[in-house]
Amino acid sequence: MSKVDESTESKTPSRDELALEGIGTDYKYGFRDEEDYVFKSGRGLTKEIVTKISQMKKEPQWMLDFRLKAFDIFMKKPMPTWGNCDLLNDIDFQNIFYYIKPSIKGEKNWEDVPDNIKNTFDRLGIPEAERKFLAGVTAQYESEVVYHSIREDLEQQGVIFLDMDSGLREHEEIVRKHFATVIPAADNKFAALNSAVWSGGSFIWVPEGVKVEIPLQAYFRINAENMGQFERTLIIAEPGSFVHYIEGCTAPVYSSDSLHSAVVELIAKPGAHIRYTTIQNWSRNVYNLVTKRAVAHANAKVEWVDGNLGSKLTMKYPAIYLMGEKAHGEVLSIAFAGEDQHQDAGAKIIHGAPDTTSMIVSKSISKNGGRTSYRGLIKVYPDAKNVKSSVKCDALLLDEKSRSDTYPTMEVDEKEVSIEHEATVSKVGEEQLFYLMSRGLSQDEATAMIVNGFFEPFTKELPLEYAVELNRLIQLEMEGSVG
Amino acid sequence: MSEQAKGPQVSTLAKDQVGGLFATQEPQWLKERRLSAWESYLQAPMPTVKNEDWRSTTVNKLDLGKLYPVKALTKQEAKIQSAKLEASLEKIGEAAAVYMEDYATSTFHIAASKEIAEKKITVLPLAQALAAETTAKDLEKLAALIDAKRGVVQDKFTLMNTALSASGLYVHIPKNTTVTAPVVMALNLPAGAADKAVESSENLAVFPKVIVHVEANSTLKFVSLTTASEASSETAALVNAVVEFHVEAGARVEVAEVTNLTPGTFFVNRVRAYLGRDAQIDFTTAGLGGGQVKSDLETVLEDRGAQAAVKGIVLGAGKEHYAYNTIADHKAPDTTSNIVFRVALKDSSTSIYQGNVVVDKVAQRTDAYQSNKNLLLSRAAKADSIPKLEILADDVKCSHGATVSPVDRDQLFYLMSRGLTRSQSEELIVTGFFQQVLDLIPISGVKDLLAELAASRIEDKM
Amino acid sequence: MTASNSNSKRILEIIDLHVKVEDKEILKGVNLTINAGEVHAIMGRNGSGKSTLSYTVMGHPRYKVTGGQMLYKGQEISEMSPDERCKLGISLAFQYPVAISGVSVSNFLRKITNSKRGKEIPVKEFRQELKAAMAKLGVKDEFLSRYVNDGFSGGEKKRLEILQLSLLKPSLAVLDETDSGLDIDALKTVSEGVNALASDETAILLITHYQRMLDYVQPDFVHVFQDGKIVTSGGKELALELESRGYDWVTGEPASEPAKV
Repeated sequence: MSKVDESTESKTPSRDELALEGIGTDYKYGFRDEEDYVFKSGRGLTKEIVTKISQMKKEPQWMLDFRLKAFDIFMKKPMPTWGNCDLLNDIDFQNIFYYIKPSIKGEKNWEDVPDNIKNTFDRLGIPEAERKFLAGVTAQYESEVVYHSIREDLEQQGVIFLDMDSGLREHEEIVRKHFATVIPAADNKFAALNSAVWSGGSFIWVPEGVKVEIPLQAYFRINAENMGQFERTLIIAEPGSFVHYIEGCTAPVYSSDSLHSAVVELIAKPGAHIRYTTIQNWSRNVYNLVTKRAVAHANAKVEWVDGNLGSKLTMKYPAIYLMGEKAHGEVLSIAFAGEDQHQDAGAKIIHGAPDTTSMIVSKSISKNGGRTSYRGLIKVYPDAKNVKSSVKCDALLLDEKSRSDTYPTMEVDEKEVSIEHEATVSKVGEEQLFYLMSRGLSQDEATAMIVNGFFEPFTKELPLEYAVELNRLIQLEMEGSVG
Repeated sequence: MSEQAKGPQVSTLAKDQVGGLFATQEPQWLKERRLSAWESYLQAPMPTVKNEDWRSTTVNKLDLGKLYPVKALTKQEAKIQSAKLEASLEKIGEAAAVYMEDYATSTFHIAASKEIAEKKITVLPLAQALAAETTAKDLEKLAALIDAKRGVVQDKFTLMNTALSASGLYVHIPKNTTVTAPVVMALNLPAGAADKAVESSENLAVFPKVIVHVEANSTLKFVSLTTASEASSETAALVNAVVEFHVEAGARVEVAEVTNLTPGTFFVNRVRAYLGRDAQIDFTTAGLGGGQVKSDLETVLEDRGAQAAVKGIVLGAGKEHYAYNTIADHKAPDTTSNIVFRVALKDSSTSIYQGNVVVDKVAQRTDAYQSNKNLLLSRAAKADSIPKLEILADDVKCSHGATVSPVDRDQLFYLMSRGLTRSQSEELIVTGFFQQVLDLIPISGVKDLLAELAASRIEDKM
Repeated sequence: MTASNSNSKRILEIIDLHVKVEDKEILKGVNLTINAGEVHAIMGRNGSGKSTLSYTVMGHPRYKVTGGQMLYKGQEISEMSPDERCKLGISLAFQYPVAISGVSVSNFLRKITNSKRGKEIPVKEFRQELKAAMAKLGVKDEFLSRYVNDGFSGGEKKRLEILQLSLLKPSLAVLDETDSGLDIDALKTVSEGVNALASDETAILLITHYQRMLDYVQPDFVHVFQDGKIVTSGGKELALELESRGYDWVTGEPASEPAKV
């Protein structure tokens, strides 16, 4: 058969076919489980809670010291004075549960996971996804990782994929050498908070030259109301290695807010390549204030693929420090803000070495009074010659209630560079809508098609199942949205 | 400059002295405004680099204790003394009126063509305008109008100007009137010794205030030159200007302002243009010299169909620092703004360009474009660019672009292969870089003047 | 079909249609009746209102019907949205189709076909149908993975328009300047595609400036448009007359430019 078959079946259409099946009408992850915990800290944060977390985890002294120091920094550091201060100042740090331990320990067999939690992740499709296409999975429920697996062949090649707590227990030396070297506790208030109370997250170490061809995945779930989830992820790619890590996030719908404040550190050693994909779909009462930063050494490549659909307020600016010659960084992100949502997302690239290159593509959609902001920084240090960087931001506004901001900053301290920034803000074109409707699509369908097309540069970078899920989510968001 | 022309130092100025700096015939409303601004000024913090708006422009080097605000100039001179200015005016060509304040000689000069009187146009030193009944009334009305508007930045510098301004110009064009030749305002300052930097400057602080009122369906060309004369023992440490354009329905204003100061001067310039229905402004600014230049150019598109075109060229040299901030404030539907800003930096000069396009909820069908290109000509030069968009309406066409790069190698190679030296080639490329902006300037004399000023700076030991 | 049944043969009936665009009246009383099995051609100068008629029939929101009637198979359609009209059986081949970036042609075609037919066509079945239609129009396979009209040449756009119509199978196909921008070979293929849309049950309304497409798609009726109205009608010989004598011959206006051949 000719190429027609390939392109109609294996490319975009099949994604859309899947995406259009079984569309619901609600936030489908909004269900909640009955609470059944081994330990739940009281509300609010004290030195005692920090110490207790560390003791329960039987951590080495240096980690406890690190936590306590971070706690002091957190208490002293003021809230950020930029961004959406109104929403930020609504956070009541004393009303949050900082540590909730759901089950005894991370299981390797799915059958051993407690039934209630297993049911939750079954409903979220986690083990199914693993069977289909993943090389390893971590599932975190509240503060602890409840399930974890990795393919045997990878384990044999020496790839370490553990939850962060186990990582610390089993590979203390590697952790100690790299932990908090990319994001120190004093970086910002939320990084300090995470450093004090972190629990769970992923620890990945890929030995020199090993290429993990299929993605490793983590899934983060908040269940309890007013829960604070503070996972900590550290990925170290030794020279010449490759790893693709994917995380997904959901939470139930509650009337009062929860806080998700992760710290993610990536270290790509010379010639290594890390791709980090996030699909964040928190419910609309979650503050998602995350610090993500990567260091790329010579010839290394780091990519953040970042999808922000849910949450009440997201503030997230994945950063890449290009510290070695010819390192390359990319941030590809989308944001979708609906009613009462503010997606304040962006990217930060620091060019600290010659011949480094970077690219940022940001696509955002605001709808129904939602607000999206792109906040970005491109910084070029002196002597970082032959730097090339291009930034492209496109925003689509779906109605007159919504808002879009673009706050890019370029700081250039070196002459031999080429820095480009471009941004557009527009609405869905009347001519496009008419064209599609003249082909029989309803206004909703036509708008969804245009929106999916708008996000396509992002979607095509996702593994198939994620692309399908994303299209489905967008379809959901678009239903009944245009009148 | 004689001691009488100076007031007490800014930092030691007492409240009861603020009013006393000025002519006794000032209207009561203005006296009150000065006093209340002075009180707010004392409370207001000095902006720091942490202030988003003042990012990378340091003001802590400015010692208020060493500044003496100038008093109104009273001595009129029939001829322009500065040869440099004379030459600039010649380039601009025929003028409808010329007003000049010369702080090197403590004199002012004013001359108007027949056209001005025939068409009932007013071009008056601000102090005189405040002393005359009709003009003072118009100024009071305009001041009240601005008070009613939200969003005017009332920071330490604006307040300082309101309280202490003793110089400036008032221009009024009645409706349905076309002024063919430009009205030219020139501010000549003592240059000081060439090696003086901002922090070591003493003496003068000048607070010009320029108010231009163009009534419905009229047109005006306005040129403003801020320069330093050739040699003088004194330095104007601070020029803190506030400039207002009130452009009523259907009126059109073409403005060109040229900043050509010496390294000892800190120039703070606040320009706001209020545009009525279908009103237009075509604004060009040129930063071609000054220790630190901090200039905010805001166009407020207040009514349907208003259009603003803002163009800028900056050529930095030595240790100069330029901070230009363009704001296009779309407050009404069907408004258009087009901003083109080009910066070239030599030596260890630095620039920060901030551009903000704000589109109000009601400003549907806004068409806004913003472009900032930076050319780095030296390794020690530094360019920052922050082009922002804040869009609250959905039916809009807004875009911006910004680039930072060195001189294009292929262009350089091409020119050198034709026998030009490297520096000749670079000069040619920079000239071309600016020419694309200069081509858009509607006032032809200004085009020539800027081309010449830019050329001499480009050639200057590149 | 019997004469008593003639109403059921009526596809489009336009009665004294007035249309405004942004307060300017463009159509000033158009009357036109199209029956099943007929091919109508509308000719006229640029700016005479021909394209306005096509947009109005399809329901572009900027074109406001201010008077008259527009009946499709006896049903008033003036208030209907474009997708409703499409589902009833009206399709427009655009003169200037817009690009929808990020949306692949294959995805788009499947979606509109399913939507028009009101059911999910099995992938295999659809693929066969699509392949056949593409072969007829000389559309290359690589077309399918490109984005809709994004970076298409003029000829490619026109082919895609006709390809869509051949999948939508309209009862009334309106073709707006489909011949413009096509070389002679492309014109032949596209015309064959148009002819394939014709049957006893369907009708075609062809809007064109030049006569050349009418060599391939034979019209039963030719109407001349001038200043927002049909000023004269006739058989296909009228098109040839126009070609040799220019529009002034019909409209009686002095020639503002020499007639083009």
